[in-house]
Amino acid sequence: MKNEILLVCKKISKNFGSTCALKEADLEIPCGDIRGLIGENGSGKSTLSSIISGVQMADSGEMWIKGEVHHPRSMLEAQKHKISMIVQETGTIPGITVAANIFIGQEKMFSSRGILRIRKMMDAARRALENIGVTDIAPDCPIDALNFENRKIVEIARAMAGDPDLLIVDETTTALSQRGRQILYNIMEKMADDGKSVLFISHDMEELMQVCRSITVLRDGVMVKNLCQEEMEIERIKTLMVGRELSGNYYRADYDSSHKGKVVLSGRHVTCGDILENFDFDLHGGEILGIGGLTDSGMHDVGRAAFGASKLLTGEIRAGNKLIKNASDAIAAKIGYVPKNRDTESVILDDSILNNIVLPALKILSNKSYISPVKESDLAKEGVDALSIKCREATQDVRDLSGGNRQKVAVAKWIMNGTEIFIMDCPTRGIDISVKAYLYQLIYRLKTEGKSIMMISEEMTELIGMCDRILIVKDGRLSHEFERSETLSENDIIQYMI
Amino acid sequence: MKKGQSLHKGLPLVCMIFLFLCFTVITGGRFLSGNNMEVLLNQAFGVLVASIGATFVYAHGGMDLSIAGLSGFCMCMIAYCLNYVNWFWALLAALAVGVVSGILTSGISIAMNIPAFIVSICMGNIWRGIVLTITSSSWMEVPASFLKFDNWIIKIITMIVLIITGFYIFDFTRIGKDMKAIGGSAEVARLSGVRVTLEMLLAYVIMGIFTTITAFFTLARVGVASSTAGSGLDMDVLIALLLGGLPLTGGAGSRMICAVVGAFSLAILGNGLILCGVDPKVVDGIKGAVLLIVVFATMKKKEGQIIT
Repeated sequence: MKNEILLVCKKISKNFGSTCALKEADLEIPCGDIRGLIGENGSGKSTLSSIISGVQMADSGEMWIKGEVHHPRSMLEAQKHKISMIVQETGTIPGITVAANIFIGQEKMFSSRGILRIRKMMDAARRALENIGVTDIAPDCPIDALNFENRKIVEIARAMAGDPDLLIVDETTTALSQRGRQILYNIMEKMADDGKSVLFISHDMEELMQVCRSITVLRDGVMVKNLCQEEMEIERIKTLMVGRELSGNYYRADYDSSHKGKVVLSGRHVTCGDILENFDFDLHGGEILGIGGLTDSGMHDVGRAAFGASKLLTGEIRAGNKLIKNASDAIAAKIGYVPKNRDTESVILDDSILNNIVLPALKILSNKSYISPVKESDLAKEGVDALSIKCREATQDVRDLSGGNRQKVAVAKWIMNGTEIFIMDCPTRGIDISVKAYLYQLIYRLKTEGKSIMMISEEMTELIGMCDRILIVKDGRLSHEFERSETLSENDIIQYMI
Repeated sequence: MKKGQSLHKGLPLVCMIFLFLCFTVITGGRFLSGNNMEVLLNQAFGVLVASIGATFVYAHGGMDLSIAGLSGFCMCMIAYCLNYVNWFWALLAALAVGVVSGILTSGISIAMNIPAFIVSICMGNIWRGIVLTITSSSWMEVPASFLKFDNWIIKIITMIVLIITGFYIFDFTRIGKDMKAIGGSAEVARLSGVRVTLEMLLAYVIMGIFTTITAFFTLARVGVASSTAGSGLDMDVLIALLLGGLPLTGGAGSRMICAVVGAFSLAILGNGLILCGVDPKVVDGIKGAVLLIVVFATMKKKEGQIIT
């Protein structure tokens, strides 16, 4: 059984208008494999997985599951061939219960004579959750009462409820904490051991190396190489993805964590959000201060508090001697904030790159009350050039840009209005490797120019690689402070996180 | 995508010109007569002025359904004041009412955390109730000297001044740009330094001011503040803006030209149909059908997201 081929894709092509997303891509997954799929933004990996899972149809090409022709017109049809998918963003339906979400589309299983047997569905839902190792989510709980992570877990239960032969995990783990990831990894291992297969898509190369048994690299819509276990090696994968040698360092090369000495932004006894309590911090001029921890530790509230984006229950935030109580105060004190949720908090998707970049700078651009369109346009162009934003023109909607370029717009708007203190929450989340590398270089350059950066991140390697100091938050309080050092490792940090 | 966008933007203007030409042809030129042009101007004026103010509210994603009742009350207010003071002070008093109405609508919405447009429906009913009470014994007449304001020259000048002012504030100052940003995403706007609640309040105050101006000129034309004074204004403004191409949820696609093109399109449509002998009762229904077609044709059909 191990040597049987589960999924065959031959010459799959897909175009969106004039954009070619997939160009005769091939893919073969044997039974019992955990196949990683990696590629830059625009490589076609999400398109390919969405075609396999029935979200959309290919323009040309063929697919077979266990020898049978596979041509699904919808996700429900794909489920008939025992294929399930979990996605990166919200995949559950609000307003209904956990159990209803798990069995969405399959309600017939529990109806007799036209009436839905709720109790039967609840019991089946409980079994589905236990099956993936989860016992603390109630099936009758309304899905809106759960946090993002638990909703993801319900989505996983839904995907597994049909006992799939092929599970597609599309960049799901970026938004999950250690607990959620572990549940998923256990499921994947079990599936592979049972002779089923997993297609695992991620930007996180360490994770791919750790979790997958083989890797396929896509570039520009074409399958570039399949790597088996022995061939899997990070530098090689990076080169295949990008098509050229990545020269220079990924993070910073230096270990000089000196800074200007003056405190530019400080928090005292900050209580904010549900968890963060009595938290203190100092950010110095020319310093990169890292904030790390588990997702629910309160680390993200540090950023929101520091920018005045969330109300403080106790404590205060000061920039110099100015008290920061709201976003307007923060911007006046030359603070900028790049939030974690890019599409809902950082950029206006249905507005132009120009308007997005110019928005925080409107006050500066106003000459008495008049704002010159020429000045706006020049500022936006400067921003696009400064961050090398890949676009046709600045009047394009931000929605048309890839995730990495959207993030560049989010950063450009703060650079263009003269920000001196940057608060960045998960600045490289869900972004491909070349834009990640670009942002790291940019952040280091800002430091050398004397700007200060607070970098909140759940990626330990990023914190270790980039920051002068790292504050680890655990259960709403400061757990430990680390200094930049060549010998600092993830293991040192993890024990203060959990 | 670019080609589609220019088509989308140009369609309302094209439709307006098309309607204009159509009616000219159908009525054998009667449509173009000096008499009718004056009638047309008067029909468009009220909705146009109110729509300019309304653009600020709709652009940020709000809606003001209190303006019918509010304009009725303003008319009563002006008529009342004209018994004691001249038109200037009467207008000032009414403007104060307009400003207060905007502050109330927005303020109650903020204090009670209810969407402003629902509060505006309540405010509209309250104003209408007050108007009914005031006019129950008798309608309020204005002194004959006030009727001089029903003059097409004054109206054209006022119109041009207000259009230019509207364009300037909306396209070239922070106020307009902030409105569009809030309409795009209130949260992103807030996190980019826009003082969202303040700006939303400002939008309703602007609406109140423009509604008052509409009431002033409507009163001069009609000569009396009746129990139905101002009724229908809120719906006419909504239809005019949508006919003009304004996105219903506001945001980046909002432009001041929508108010101008829309108000004139609506007036041309109504005026032309009546000239053709259509029963006025049917005209309303036709306006509704045309609105449906226009909104459908200019709605941005969401293309499938490119997933790569």
